Amino acid sequence: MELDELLKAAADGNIESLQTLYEELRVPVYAVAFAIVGNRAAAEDVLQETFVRIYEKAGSYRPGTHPKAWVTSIARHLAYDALRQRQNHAVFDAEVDRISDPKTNIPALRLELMEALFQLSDIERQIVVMHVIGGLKHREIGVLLGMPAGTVRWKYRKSLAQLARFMGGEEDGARSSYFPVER
Amino acid sequence: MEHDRLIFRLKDEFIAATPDVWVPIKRQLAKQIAERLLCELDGLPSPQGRLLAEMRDHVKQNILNQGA
Repeated sequence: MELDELLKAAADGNIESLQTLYEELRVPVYAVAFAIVGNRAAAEDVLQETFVRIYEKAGSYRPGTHPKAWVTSIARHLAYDALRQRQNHAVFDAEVDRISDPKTNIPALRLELMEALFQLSDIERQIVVMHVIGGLKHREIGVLLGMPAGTVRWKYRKSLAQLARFMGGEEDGARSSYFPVER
Repeated sequence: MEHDRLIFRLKDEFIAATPDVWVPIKRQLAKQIAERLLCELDGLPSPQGRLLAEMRDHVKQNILNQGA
């Protein structure tokens, strides 16, 4: 079932459709939330709240108008709300939480990429996440961020290049801290 | 680091990091739906009202039985 159809079914009160939608989009929604709030617990709350909001507002979605972008827009708004609340409560420490998978237990190297991601500006980070994880087109991201698609494309390429440098290797892949190559 | 590898790793990181919160979502939705339904019913039926109705029916039945 297409995302459009899932949203329509959710608007009619179908929880199973919402669950399918959740399975399809939970990773990009979490990624966008995390890119904005920079904290696992807060991003988790945003993830949860986003799908509750989708269920409530699915009726207002216009079919054929970029469902992923619509969902991302909801997640962004909620993430900024959460960020404001955290800042108001003076608990925001601007520290990127450690991300590790307890099952695979490979935290040391995994952290580097997240740290590198947070060296980018807020907007650059969102562009990378929305394009790479969310699969949004530059044009769709441009609409969400209020900037031309060309600017999004340029920022995306620049951000990837920066990330590559932050990861401790040259852009051409000659060296990588994750896949070390002897010289 | 090659961009393709970087993109692959980013995806991998976020897939591993994303928690599963479907159960709390479903719980929250169930709570909201229940609250909305109660609002539509204009509040819970009063237990006192039900008790009074039962007492009234009981008394009515007794009167009818005595009269029979």
